[in-house]
Amino acid sequence: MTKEEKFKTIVSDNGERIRNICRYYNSNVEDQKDMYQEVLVNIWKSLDSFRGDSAMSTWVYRVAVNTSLTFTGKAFRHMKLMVNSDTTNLNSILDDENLKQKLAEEKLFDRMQLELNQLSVIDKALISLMLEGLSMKEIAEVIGITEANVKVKIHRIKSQLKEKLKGEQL
Amino acid sequence: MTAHEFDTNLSKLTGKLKKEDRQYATIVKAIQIFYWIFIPVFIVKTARQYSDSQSINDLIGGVALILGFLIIALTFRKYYKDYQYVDYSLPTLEMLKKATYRYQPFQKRGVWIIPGLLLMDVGLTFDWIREGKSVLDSQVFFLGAILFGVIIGLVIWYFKYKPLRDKILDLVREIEQ
Repeated sequence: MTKEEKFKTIVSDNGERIRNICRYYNSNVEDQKDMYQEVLVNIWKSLDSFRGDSAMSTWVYRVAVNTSLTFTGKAFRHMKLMVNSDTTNLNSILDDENLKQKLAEEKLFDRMQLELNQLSVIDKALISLMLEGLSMKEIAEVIGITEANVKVKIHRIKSQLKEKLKGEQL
Repeated sequence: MTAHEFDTNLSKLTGKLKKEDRQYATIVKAIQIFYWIFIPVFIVKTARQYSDSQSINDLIGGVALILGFLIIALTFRKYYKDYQYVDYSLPTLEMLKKATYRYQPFQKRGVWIIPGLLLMDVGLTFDWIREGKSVLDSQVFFLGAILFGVIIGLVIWYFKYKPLRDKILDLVREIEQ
């Protein structure tokens, strides 16, 4: 298989994953397209180093997340994490039954969007991977830290968000 | 945005990427031309000079200059390769740590530049002596040029790469917390 064929296969098999990551970080359609292109460029550049040590999906997520951190299209510190109310794993952030119901309320959702955007760049990356439905182990493989460390970080983010959103409800 | 909208330019992009690969290969070839053609020319020049003058100084100076060029050309090729092809598929923490190393002004691997420069200095000094100039003049010229280059490099690094490196270091600290 040539490099071009391998590249096209990866893009067609993982296109949705890449697009999702791009959507998390950009509200603007043009920015999403720019970042998508940049992720593809970086997949091409990194293709020779793929040894099959990790799953292809993990490899693709690494390239996408790393691109988001170094995305030249805009300064990463201004990057926003955009979530949609229909994101499958959105409730995993707030695994509290009472809050899940309240999350349906638009005001709380807006507040949650606002709070997510207050997160640091790394926390945004962790949350975006969690929203993609990756396990703690897979997130650890993407970021390069231990699974236990990922659990601690995500637990801390969830606790902070819950605390802030509880305050909103009072 | 639909998947179709994202994918419409894939073939065009692949063509562009292949073109970039070709350009990269061309630059690597240009560097190779430098040390596979330019250096042999220097070898011939040194051999002729030595056969004409029978001076050991000409031989030492010429060989030192050739080795200096060779070391610097090889080091430059390695640097170029590392900068051109950043591996984005590494775990995030590892990629960021590599980036902080890449963006630091003085690097351990850059130590190879020193023997290269010293050899060029030796070559230049012998050349100047042959032309009747003093060793002191050659050292002032050579070290002055190196110092000037280092200062310019550091100024560029301070304004262009240091802020970037500081941000990357912040990310590394945050991940490791």
